[in-house]
Amino acid sequence: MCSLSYSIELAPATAELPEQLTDHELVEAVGKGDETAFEILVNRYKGQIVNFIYQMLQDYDRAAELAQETFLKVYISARKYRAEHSFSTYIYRIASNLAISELRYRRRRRWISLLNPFGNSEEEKPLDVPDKAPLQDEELIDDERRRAVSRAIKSLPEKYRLTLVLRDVEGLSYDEIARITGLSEGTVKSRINRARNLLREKLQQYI
Amino acid sequence: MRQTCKQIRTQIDEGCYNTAIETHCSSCIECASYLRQIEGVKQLIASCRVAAPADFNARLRRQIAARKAEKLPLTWNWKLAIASLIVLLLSISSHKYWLEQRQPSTKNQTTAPSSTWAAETQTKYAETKTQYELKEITTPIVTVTTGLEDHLKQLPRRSRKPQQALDKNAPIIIPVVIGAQPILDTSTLGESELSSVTVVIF
Ligand SMILES: [Zn+2]
Repeated sequence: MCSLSYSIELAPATAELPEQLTDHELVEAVGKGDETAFEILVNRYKGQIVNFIYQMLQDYDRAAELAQETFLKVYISARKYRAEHSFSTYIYRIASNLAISELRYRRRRRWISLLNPFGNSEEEKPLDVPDKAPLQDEELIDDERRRAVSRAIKSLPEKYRLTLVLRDVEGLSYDEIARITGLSEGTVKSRINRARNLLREKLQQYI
Repeated sequence: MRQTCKQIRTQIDEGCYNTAIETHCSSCIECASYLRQIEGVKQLIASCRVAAPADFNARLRRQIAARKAEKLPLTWNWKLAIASLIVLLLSISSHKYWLEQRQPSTKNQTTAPSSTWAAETQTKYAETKTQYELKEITTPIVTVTTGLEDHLKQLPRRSRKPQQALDKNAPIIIPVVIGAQPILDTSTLGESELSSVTVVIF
């Protein structure tokens, strides 16, 4: 009887809304319902966010899903957004929280699967790296190295992994990592050094 | 480890490379090896970057649209409920008002309604004691001021074709659309009598 239809169009970036706008200006525009501004923001950050979550989880499909959720949260709360720090800090904080929640959920599930010996253990799952075309010799070596790095990162304790990925993968400053994680800069530095040294030991043959 | 080595390694860890590190590492094998390994680790991690899937934006658009669609019916349900309640109350009160106005005139009524069938039906059914349920049906007229006239045309016009009239207890259905102007124009009811009023939301 009462049928309602709703469609949303995220139009490609146009000259009316230049790519040169700052992140804050774009979020403000998103808050006012500007879909083009949101599209620009997504294009600006999607690579970093997908990669960041992937490095945290080492699971590409789930990383893509959580990156979507991150942007969805940005979109929904754009009207309430307050530019206290950089937008980058804001979006990485959302993504970190989602990634950490996922890791904790997986850890709980692992405990449950340990209690249930007939269930599938998380440890038994092969590492999920993005699909590739058939590999050549050189690519096979690359692939092996990639898997080794992936295993090494996955073996890091969560607190070390987060700071290391933000610093060495995403290239953020210590100051920004401290704001994202809520840690002091000193703690951030020591965790990153600890993580690097752990990786150095595990990846010795590839260095 | 010499104090200088410790300072140099701190600088290496923090990634603030400068000529001091370069000079030191050219003469200190341990620090040079440390620098190489740290750089190696960083390069290895950086080489494992992944890109967003090609359909990322399209999937996100679908998610946003789905989220919006999820939220809309909830608010609309509230609006529909409130609006239908208002219409219902208005209908009942106007009907009540009309009944009150009609009471004295009915007693002293001497002239029959214009058509003969109306006169027949008037004698056929006695008015019940219940205020809202009149058994007598003569000429109910429903006026719609929005785009629902077409729909109403399909409803039986009991006032004109008595042989097609519904059961005396059958309700008169008044279609209501939210945002529409008043649907039931009671001023046009005149001498008519309604058996009951049902509000249907389309
Ligand atoms: Zn040295």
